[in-house]
Amino acid sequence: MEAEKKMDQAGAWGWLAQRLAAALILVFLGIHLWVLHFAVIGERITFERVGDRLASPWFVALDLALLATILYHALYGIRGIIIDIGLGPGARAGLTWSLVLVGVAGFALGFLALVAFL
Amino acid sequence: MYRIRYSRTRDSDLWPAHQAVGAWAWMLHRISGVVIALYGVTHVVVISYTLGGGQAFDRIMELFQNPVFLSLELLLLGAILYHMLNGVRIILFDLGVGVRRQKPLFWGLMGLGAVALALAIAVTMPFIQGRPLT
Repeated sequence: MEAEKKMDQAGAWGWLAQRLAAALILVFLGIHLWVLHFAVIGERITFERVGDRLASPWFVALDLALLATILYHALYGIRGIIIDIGLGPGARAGLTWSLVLVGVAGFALGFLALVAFL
Repeated sequence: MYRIRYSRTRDSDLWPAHQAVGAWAWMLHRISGVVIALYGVTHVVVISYTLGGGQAFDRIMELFQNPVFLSLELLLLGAILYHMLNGVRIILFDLGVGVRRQKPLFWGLMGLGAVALALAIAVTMPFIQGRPLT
């Protein structure tokens, strides 16, 4: 009973965080798509050109923030889909921690890929 | 009489999946979400070719900078616009805004998305038709 209540509370915070992440992604992805894909349309994307843009720490920060918020938003969404398909409460903790691992690994890979431009 | 449960949880009548337009809009939201997530994985993996050096990155990027992938990117943009704008609708509902006008709200947002996608297609089309990249 106590454990169930705790899980409901965790669920409510997780849900709120997913909405907040969505709002942030709206801004971050908007800037990312505009600066990287539409402002430079017709220009070939090369290591050198991306590196020049990433010389500004603001763009590195933007891309890392985008990576983190999207990972959280996407993995929380996938968790909801798997639970709705039918996953017993007993297996939820295992699922959640597996997805946390995926998120940490995804952030590490994206971080390394990004700093390699610098 | 039909009673509305106002708590905004999954078994509430205000949960977007439990409303007429909302039912398939919600399904499409999840499908587009999964598509975008799969693209996101590919995107990070492709960018991580930087770990093999600048030339490795340029070589892998060369594969994607052609009319076929430009067209696929427009499809991706369509999925992103749908997911974003339907997401705005979901958040407005969470805040209690527009629940009673959900149909015009949905189609208004979709109209906005269609205009944005049309603009993107217009600026991309020359390069799909073969104008060389600079």
